[in-house]
Amino acid sequence: MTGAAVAVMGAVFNLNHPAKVVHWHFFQMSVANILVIILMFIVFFAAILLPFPGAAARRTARGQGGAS
Amino acid sequence: MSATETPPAVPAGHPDSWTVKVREAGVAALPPDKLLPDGQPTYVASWIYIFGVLSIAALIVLIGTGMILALKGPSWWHDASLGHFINSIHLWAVEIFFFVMVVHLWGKYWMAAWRGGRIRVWVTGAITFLIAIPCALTGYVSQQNFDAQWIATQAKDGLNAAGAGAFFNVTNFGQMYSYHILLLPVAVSALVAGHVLLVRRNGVVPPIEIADKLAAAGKPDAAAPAAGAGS
Amino acid sequence: MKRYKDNTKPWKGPYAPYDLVKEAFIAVCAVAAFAILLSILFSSPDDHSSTIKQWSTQKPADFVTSATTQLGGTSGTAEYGPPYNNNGEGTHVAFINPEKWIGVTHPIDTEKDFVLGPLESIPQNPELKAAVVTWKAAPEKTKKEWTANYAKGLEKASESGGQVTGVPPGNYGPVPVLMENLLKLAQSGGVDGALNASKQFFQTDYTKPLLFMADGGLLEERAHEQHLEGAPQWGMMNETGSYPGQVWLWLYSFWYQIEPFKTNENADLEIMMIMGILSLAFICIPVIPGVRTIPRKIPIYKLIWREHYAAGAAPPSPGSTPEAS
Repeated sequence: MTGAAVAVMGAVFNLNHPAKVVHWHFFQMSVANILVIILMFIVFFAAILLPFPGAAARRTARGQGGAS
Repeated sequence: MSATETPPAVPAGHPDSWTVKVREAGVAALPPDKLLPDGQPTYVASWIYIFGVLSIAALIVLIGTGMILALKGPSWWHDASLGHFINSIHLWAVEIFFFVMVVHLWGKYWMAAWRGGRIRVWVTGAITFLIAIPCALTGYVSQQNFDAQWIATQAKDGLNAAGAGAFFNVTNFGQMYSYHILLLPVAVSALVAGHVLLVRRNGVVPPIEIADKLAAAGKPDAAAPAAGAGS
Repeated sequence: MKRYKDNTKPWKGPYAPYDLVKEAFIAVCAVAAFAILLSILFSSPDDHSSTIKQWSTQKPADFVTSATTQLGGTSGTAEYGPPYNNNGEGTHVAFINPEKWIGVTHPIDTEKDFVLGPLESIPQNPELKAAVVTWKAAPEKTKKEWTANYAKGLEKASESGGQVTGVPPGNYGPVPVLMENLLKLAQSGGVDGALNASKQFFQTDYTKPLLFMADGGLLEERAHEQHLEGAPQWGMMNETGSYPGQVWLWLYSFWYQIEPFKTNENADLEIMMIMGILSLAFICIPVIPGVRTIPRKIPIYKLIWREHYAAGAAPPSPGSTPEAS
């Protein structure tokens, strides 16, 4: 890299090289950014699909307080 | 006065006292068990609900690492490996912050969480997101490295076009650093505080209305499916 | 048209224990731990900044060409317009021209600030002093002719050992002497120092050296290598190296990739206006008909609240009649 000294302190994986890029028509995005976006969708759907702990306590509360 | 004597009673506040008025308004809006409830409605039963607190957590990590970076000055992270490490945490916390905040936003949109008088909750949240973006930008242009040089010389064009460049100069490191470490974090934190207090005041939005509530209230709704069916 | 009235009544139903403070504590620990883990695994980028010294040493012909346009008033910065000078119209959409309305707030005269000013700091150089006098005394038309000719001549130049050679003879006036001395000064680091905003010891404003460098080729070359250019690289979203960048700028970056914005000189203002309107709309989603009812029509909420519904409340089926107010 012309005129640049890259400092990487103790990284296990060195990401200090020009990014790999995904090309599709006019769409061009770095692999890292695409991974982040894909991960966001995965996390969102996982969040709404995975069961949330405390179901027993909520069942008890409904039984005691009665449904609305 | 010995330890066994009861202290004199505090006289009742004067009704025209501003202090009394502010205190009473505060307590009326947010009594302690509403400000910090130890229970939530039973419909709070999804992992999507944790993304708000994750956003706050990321903001806390950002402010914490940001404070350390500010203590040591803007060139520390270039010279010292510990400084670089703290800066790395700060940078990854930015990615985490926007990640969880956007997932939180998606969840709140699909829950139509502005219902029931909660429009201000949505508005404060949306403005927080929009203010967080220049907060991040000012950080990027304060890095004092090539990335900062490039981002500043590019971002100036959009800002100049909008007229903002006249008083918000991304190539002026001193100004951008001040915005980044003080003005914008204060704005974001104040908005988040207001947002959270509004959530505590209104409660977490109930599920989208169900027909059997009307049935239970004695109002027949022929289009409503029977309770428990069709979910 | 169906109208949904906001029908959320205050919750009078059951509560289950929920420890908010513990949740917040766990969240902070988890996020901090995750950020620390990412930092250990990947660190963060820190590509060293470019300097005018580096630029002039590595790309002397590019530097001299850029400096010539600064002197002649034809560079990007020289013709930018507000907030730097009045030599350009600024971007506009119809009659809307915020740059021009606000005017010059960070005055930059590229001839004086980028070239003559630094040169006048060089002491004891009679040839240079004479060249500056000749330049200043010349009419505007002649200055433009000299610099335009020299810039054309530089297209045939080559670089050797940090020097620019092979410029064919031509009508350049004192420009070659000015540029030769500016190049020497730049390569010694003197132009970096001379281009700061104020005349005081402590500096925090890098507008002038940054604008000078941005008019040249070094920053752009490094940016291209790192896929940071706005169009067509969507560079606004990117970080140096293979790190994730500012993903949240995706929509802002998008407009620059498509017509008519891709080739429009007023794209900056047009896109800022679009994003301003969309941002306002984003804030106002709760009151925008159509947008605010999409969550009811695409019932992702049924997944989120499935336990609640299963416990004794059924959600409305799609297209059901609106609830009574």
